[in-house]
Amino acid sequence: MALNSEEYTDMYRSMRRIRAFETAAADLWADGEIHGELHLSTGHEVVAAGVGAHLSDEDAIAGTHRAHNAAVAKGVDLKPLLAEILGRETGLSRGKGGHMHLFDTDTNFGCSGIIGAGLPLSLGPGIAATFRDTDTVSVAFLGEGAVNQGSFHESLNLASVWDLPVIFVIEDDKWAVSMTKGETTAVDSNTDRALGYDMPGLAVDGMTPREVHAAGDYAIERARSGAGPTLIEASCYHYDGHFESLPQEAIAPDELEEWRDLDPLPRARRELQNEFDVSEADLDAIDEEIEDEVADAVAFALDSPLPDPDPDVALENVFAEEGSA
Amino acid sequence: MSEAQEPLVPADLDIERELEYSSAIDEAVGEALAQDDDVFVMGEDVELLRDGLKEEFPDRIRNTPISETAFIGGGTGAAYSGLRPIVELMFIDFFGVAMDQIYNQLAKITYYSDGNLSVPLVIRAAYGGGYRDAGQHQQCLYSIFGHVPGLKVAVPSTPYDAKGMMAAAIKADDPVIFFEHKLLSDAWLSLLGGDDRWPDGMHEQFDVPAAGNRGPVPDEKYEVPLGEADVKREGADVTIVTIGAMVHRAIETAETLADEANIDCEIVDLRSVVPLDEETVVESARKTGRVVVVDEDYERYGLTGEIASIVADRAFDALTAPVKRVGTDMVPIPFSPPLEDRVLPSTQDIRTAVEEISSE
Repeated sequence: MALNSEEYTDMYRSMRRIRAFETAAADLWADGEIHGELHLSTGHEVVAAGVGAHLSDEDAIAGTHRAHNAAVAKGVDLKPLLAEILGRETGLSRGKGGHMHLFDTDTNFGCSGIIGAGLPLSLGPGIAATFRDTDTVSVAFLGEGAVNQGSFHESLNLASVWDLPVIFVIEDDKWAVSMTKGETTAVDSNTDRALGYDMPGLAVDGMTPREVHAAGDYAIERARSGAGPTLIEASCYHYDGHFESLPQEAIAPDELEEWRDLDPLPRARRELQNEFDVSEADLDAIDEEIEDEVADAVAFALDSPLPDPDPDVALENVFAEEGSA
Repeated sequence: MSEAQEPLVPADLDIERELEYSSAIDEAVGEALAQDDDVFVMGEDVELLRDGLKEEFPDRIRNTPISETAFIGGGTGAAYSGLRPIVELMFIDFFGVAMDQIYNQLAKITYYSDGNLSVPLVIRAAYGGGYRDAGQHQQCLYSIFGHVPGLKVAVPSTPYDAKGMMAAAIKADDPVIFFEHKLLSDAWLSLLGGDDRWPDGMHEQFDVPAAGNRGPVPDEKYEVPLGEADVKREGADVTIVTIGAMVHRAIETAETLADEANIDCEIVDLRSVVPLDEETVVESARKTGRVVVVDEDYERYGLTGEIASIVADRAFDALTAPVKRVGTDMVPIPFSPPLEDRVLPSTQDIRTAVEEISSE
């Protein structure tokens, strides 16, 4: 399960793409181009990239309110993704969903703004896979705060009872808005809870690529083989705080500085150069390529018009069968 | 019930077979299971409740743990992954434990994906009172699901409508909450109210409306479209707009009023809360000029007010009296029989409302 040079480089690319995308989104929010709440996933790059490395377009992801990392890692096209976040007509849903309701049928990616809501939904593609006898898997991301929702317990139990090919990935970034894991959770490690649902629980350092990659590999292979679900808890940090109007500096400035020292992007660059013989020039080339990619997405989004409220775009597609509500 | 009453099915159909209400629904489910491998049923105790279907389709009738959030959400996810699940919520009163999955997820996925995802899920739920189970197990609540955009709501009043609307619900590419009235269902009523205890039988004990419990049902496949109301009784003087088991209380009242008070009532059975067949309601309101809305759900903030508002908006000039409504009193439904009977709409309550509107 050791990470090879190509795999690590691919992960790095995915991580860099997430970081660049989120950085661009932060700037766009500050400029007033993105409305409402914006929950960025800077600091969560490794978790998404490490799990996403093992997924194909057919596999499903149910994401959280902080799902850009998972969307990018899954391969959602950056242009309609960013355009949707900006509420533009060229977005994934013509601007109707926005940042917390992103749906891409090409990559079977979806997300929801309700804490814990993706877990029950994620059982669905798992049920479909067992019915059709395919090796498709379903991944549900959740924060460490969501494990205290009833939906977590119900979903893990049912996934276990029915041996569903579902992987539950906790992005433990220590804070649920202003509440710590320690003050709200009865156990120190949520992987202890896996025992209660008769499934493996893997606690990993969510800032270390080889750990997340290995855990994702194990869990996804296990699911594909029909052996059932796995719970992963990956320790990470949200550098940009809960959302853009609540920076992490306001919550825990000293702790934030400690976690910044663990920033996975510079660490990955060092490791790739030192351990895998990837040159700095190669890494710079990747970074530049991705900066261009993201810049193109930004230009695309900013150039796209807002949806025309006439005729009735706002009222369309409530139902699949009729055009209007 | 008057012998002169026509069976409550389309007049041009010559149907020989009679079927009980829940059996009619199960028949639609069985036909769908036979026709489409993507259809399956899951929920608590379904392997017992649908034991006939379980025998015929063992892999597609699955018990779930008592985890409504997980299995309604899982059903939603399975539906947008291409399956066609029928999830049984048992009693609609239990929606509370899973409401986020219903109103924030199931109802909104098609819209937020701008139609790129469809969610062909049926939630089958028993509802309604009159058999003394009290108020956490007898509510109607369909208005709540009508209030949140993105859900279709089917409430059939007869075996014919029930089979046809379940077939339509399964075929629909949209979420449908399908309401099955317990008082019309032999299976539910005998399980909950008991059959053997009553010297005159449970139908007599609980005043089960005969035409709601049993009636002509074609044995071939057919659909009754969602969103179409049905005039169950034509009349000239007063329109009663109603739904579910109350259709039969209204018919009974209409017959009494025709005999005793010379008032001729037209009865509009809405059949669906969403889509709502406003045209049929408005047409009848214009015809009679007097509208009484009768609903077994709580009176306030629901269906009766909705219909009254639509009628006032679209038929005001044709009305000779304000719209009246009859609903369940704004109290939790009490347990003891005389209290329950007082709180749920009775034929007397309907009669009083019709007589009042007729004298205005």
